[in-house]
Amino acid sequence: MISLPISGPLGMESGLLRLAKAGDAAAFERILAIWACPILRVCTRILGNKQDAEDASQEVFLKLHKNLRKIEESIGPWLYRVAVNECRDRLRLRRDESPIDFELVLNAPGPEALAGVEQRKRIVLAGLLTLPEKERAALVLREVEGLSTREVAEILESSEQTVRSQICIARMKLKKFTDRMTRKPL
Amino acid sequence: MRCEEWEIRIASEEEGAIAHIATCESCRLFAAQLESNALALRDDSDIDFAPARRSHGKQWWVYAAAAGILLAMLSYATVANREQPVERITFHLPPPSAPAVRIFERPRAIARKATEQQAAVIKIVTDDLDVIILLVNSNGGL
Repeated sequence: MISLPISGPLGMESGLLRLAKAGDAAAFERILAIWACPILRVCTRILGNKQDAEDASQEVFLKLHKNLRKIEESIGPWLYRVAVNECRDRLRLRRDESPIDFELVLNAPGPEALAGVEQRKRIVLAGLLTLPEKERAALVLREVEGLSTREVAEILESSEQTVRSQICIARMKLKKFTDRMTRKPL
Repeated sequence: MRCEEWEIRIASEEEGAIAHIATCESCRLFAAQLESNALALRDDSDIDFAPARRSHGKQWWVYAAAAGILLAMLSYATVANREQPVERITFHLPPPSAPAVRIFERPRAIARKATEQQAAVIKIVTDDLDVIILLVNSNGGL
């Protein structure tokens, strides 16, 4: 059965944002404490690389600090949008330099006796990296962050219909990939 | 409707898909696989959140605050130094020991000549061989 999305932290920080805009350092610190992990998680899933994800995440919060007074909407969608765009920029740069080799991810050295769940997870994460940027971002925001299709559409500045289609295609592709890879001995 | 069509509906979370899953074994398996993938994506145990938790923006936030405090301290120190009178530093050294003064008698000829010229010279020799004090009185007499 398809699970319902976990409740995201969207809309929680309007008061904090107002205080932070007024120069309240503690409020800004609290926003960072709330959002540091979700943003790092999104960046890690989209980029598939720890170091890149940390750099992208840092960049997102630098932009937040820089543009704090300009933010009119809820802080969550703004942060997610900046994170996704930051990841896209990095993916484009990386594509120019060296394409992602998901086989490398799959065959990354690890304990000989990987548990089945861990092995499957590795396959799924490798499959995620094979998806086009937009599908990957939509799927991560929906499945990992548990946002609604409307929220994802808002973040990606796209229509709900488009996002629903992207998520559907991404799920189908990911399933095909995992089916193929689980049949193939690792 | 064939299962392939239902699979698209399930993946799209369309209405009616859940009801169909309850009746179709193949589609139930498909939905379970999607769910399994979603769980794998959601599991963030592989992500090291320590840097995010630790930093909380300290890169600019704490360092900026620290820099601000440092600047304030430096500014205060600069202003304070400007306002305060310059402190005179006095070293209290022990007084030099009194030089041992020896007065040499002028030879008579010189003394006579000096008297004639109404000039007097006193040579004071101190303990320090490099220091010799000469007292000269051009008017003569001491």
